[in-house]
Amino acid sequence: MSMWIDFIGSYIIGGIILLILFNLNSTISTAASENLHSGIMQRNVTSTADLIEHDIYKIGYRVAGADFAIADSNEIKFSADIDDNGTAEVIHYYCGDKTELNGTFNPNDFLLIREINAVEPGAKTAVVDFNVTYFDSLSQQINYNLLTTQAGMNQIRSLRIKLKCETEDKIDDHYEAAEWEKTMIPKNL
Amino acid sequence: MSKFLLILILGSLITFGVISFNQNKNISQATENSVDNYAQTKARNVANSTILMLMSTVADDYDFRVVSPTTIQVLDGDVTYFVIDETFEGEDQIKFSVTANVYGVTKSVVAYTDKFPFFPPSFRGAITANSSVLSNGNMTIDGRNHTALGTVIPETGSYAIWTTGTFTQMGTSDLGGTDLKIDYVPSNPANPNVIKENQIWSGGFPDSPDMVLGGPATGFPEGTLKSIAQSGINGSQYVTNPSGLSGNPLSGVTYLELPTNFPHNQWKDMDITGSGVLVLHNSAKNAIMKNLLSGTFKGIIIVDDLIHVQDLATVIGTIIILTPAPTDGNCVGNSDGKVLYSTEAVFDALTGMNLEKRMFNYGFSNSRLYVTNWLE
Repeated sequence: MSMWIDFIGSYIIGGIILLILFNLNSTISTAASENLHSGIMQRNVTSTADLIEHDIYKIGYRVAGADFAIADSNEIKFSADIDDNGTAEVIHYYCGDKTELNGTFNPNDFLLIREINAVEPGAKTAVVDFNVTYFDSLSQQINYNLLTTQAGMNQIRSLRIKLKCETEDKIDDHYEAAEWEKTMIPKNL
Repeated sequence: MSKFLLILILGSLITFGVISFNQNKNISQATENSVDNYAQTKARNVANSTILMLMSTVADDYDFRVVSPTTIQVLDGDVTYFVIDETFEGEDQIKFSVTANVYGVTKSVVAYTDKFPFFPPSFRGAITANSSVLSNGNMTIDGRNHTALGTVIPETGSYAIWTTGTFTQMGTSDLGGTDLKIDYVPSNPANPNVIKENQIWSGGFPDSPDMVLGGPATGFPEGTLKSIAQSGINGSQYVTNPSGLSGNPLSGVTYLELPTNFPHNQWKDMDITGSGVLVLHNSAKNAIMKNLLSGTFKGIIIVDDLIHVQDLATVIGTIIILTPAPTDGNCVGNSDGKVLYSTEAVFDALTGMNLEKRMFNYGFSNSRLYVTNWLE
């Protein structure tokens, strides 16, 4: 009798251990996958952020005329001598259309495009959010309606840029994301 | 069964180990990203802070320069810097160069400031004008730098004329000035290096006296000069009719807000003896200062429309003319009138009224020097 109890008990315990192990494996695999894609997204965001920081901090550097040509919530066009050669370049960040990335499973992603002197240098990143907020000398947010005129754009003294990237595919029923936000005060404004 | 379980547990442990290893690698990479980003930000902050510290030192001691690269430690970082005079963008400037190294990340920042601290960048020569300018008679416009007594200080001056329009030199009028540290004695015809025509003012030519001194961004919101004049400090005066002035010498901020209708918008045939900041302005930007006949004024003249600095009148300092459409021609002077550019007279005018403290309102990211360019 006791042998049968041992036999059935070991099956039950063994089954429980098996279930725990399968669950553990599954959880670890999911976490690893999330971590991997999160890392990729993070690298994506930091490299894009580095590029944006590189350009934004130079707005107005060695510029004779107006610093900004466009200042909108998801588009910014400004002048700066980013290569310090004495000639100012026109740098344009704008968002592509979501339909351009129909090949991905993420319905929200679109291309963030960076142009220099109206030439696309290939710096494109898939993002799901790109937002620019503008502030005046008193650090008060400038209404976008005022930024349609040159006089309004001349008031800009600092900018806050928000950037969010997501994976192309769902990882465990959600898109893995990484976000970056920074307020920058270009010293030449 | 027990053997099967053992194999399964061992297999799971190996799988767990491999996944854990990969996860740790990912986490390390993520941490590295954060640390790199932090180090970059910190290196930038250290470099920028060092530049501001160096600018502060130059503001305290104008002769401070560091020709050989020097390394110091600032906020956990090693900073190598130098401060030199350099011609940049065609102007004599002070160059501040800093390279910061924080946690192995290097960031270089270079900043340039105007050579003359406390000198508002709106004044771009002996006469700065928003319209075409003409000199006549025996007038002298000298952009070389002068002491407040009118003695020439070599190599530190500016242009005779800086205008958004054109310049015409007539009669026997003489113009001189300084360009790239080269002084040009007043002559007829003038050396073209001392005349800047068809210039563009980034952001638009200032349209009010307060904007000339920098506007709200530098502590001069609209109405500041007027309110100082109304306060009467140091002999300041505010009048709407020239007959209301208390007489010479003028001092402090003298503000004439004349009516906009002719002929009440004119102040004519005056003795300009005095010093400080002299403003002639109205809402239509058509207040006219006409026929400056005698006396020496030391400091800043901000005027809507200027006609004829002449006879015995001498301005030591600088003049800025705001109107883009002079109502009675473009002749700023004739006979023996003189305009001598002087940073000392401008500096005295500003410090005499503590105006420079408004302009250099110390605080976060503010500097007591005029920063022209900042590369980070």
